[in-house]
Amino acid sequence: MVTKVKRLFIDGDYGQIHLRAVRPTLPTKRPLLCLHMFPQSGRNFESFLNEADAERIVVAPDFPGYGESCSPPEQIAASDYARSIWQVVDTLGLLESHASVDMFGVHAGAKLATEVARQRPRDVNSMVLSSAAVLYPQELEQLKKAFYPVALDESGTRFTKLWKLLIHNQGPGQTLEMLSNHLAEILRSGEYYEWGHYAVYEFNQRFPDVLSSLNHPIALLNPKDDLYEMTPRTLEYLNNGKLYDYPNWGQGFIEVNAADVFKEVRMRLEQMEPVPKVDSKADWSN
Amino acid sequence: MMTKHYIDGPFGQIHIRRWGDDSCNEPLLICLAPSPFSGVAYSTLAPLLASERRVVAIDYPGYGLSDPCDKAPLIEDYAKAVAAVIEALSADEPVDLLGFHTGCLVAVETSLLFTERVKRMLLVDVPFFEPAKQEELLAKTPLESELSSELLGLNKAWDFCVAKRLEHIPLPRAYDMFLDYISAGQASNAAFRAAFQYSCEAQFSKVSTPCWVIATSSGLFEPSRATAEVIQNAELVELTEITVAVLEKGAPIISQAVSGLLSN
Repeated sequence: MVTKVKRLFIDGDYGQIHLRAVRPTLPTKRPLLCLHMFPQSGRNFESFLNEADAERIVVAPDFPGYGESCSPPEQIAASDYARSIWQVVDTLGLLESHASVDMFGVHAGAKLATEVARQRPRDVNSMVLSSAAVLYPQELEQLKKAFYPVALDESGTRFTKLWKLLIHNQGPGQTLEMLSNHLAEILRSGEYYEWGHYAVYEFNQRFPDVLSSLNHPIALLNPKDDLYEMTPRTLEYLNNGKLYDYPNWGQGFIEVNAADVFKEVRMRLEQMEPVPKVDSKADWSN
Repeated sequence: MMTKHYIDGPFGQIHIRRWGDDSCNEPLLICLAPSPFSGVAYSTLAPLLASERRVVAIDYPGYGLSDPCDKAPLIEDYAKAVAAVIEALSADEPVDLLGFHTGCLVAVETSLLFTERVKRMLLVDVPFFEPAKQEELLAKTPLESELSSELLGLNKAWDFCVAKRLEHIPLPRAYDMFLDYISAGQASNAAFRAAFQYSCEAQFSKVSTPCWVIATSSGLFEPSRATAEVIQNAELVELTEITVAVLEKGAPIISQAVSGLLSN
């Protein structure tokens, strides 16, 4: 029996951390953590969570300062965002029933997933990373120009600019209501809604080294969004990864194609399951 | 310090904000929001009230972070959600209710639904309208607000909360309210519509819970006075020094009045 998505708060280093979770009674597969892009929240995964089966716990936290999670008092680093994910894992006791967790990260959430794995490599089994692009310096500069904080003013420049950006990047199947919800999630992050991007911009320099240091199985998903051309180059830094192209999925694909995305992520995770060791001395004669 | 929590309710999860010291012995004060907002409306007043008592502000189903009803909600549905919060947070002790605008109707209905669990009520600026006026307002309030790529629906929310806001509401507060408004999505009118369908006079006349009706110098001054006449045991408190922005500029005065009334 599939349980409905539940939302809850736990205590973290910067105050409450908000999360969405599907917690079946008797999960047989390892828990799956879903890490969102910036400046959004775990709400990105709500439809995806609704598609979750009864085999695993699926958790989508809001990073500190995003969604309903409390904001840190000052700019924090990628390592701090990653530590907040371990606080979620430990508080929920996700490693009590399983030896490790899997992760599904999108954009900045995909990059942060690698930092999460770097911090406690033995506690992570495999990762599905969508649009985890290694960026060249000039591409990073372009992103910095596109994503900068817009000051609050009486004429509504922030929400107007963000709405236009959402409309400009509208993916196939994304409705105006979905975009309106996305806008609300971005605005919810308050005055510091670009802190997450800043942390990931800084992390971008270390990202190739972090990738190269990981031996975890990684499925690199490449939907046709703004990082479509850049994502494939990440493959060369993976010790144990494969690239999967999704030219029919675009911006917002997790929500628009939730059922298919869940099936795809589940399949990739199953493909990355370690092959059970067979005892060659076992007696099969009977 | 404010903390946020979820409680299981009749329509899914109910989101609440809590202020105050848990060891306080005063009855829990539950604050009920005006349309079309969530409990965030009380983020100015609740910290003041919480110096003497535990305070909770509830997001109605479909607002803030609370799950929506599976149908167009009525005031009775919001009252059922409030009852679930009372059950969860104050199983043994009766609570006090504070309503503002639509929240007054929810408080009244909660007191009728759960009479033994509501100790006292404070109703601030009650939208007590004649049925004909309610029908007129209902007809002007569509089920779903409009969205378009040209920002039509969002501009309306911006105008309501920010551009045409009342005097003395600072920009960050107005911005929070705008965000709260658009977070309700296309069903942001649901609480207005519920209020316009509520049988005010019939329900007010059934109330037996001790009640104070607080009337500020607003468009709801006369409806509030009329409410005090219909509700038996109601005492009218006129705070005419509040002329604008009741939950913002008026918050210290409301807080002082509420604390005074509840301590007697």
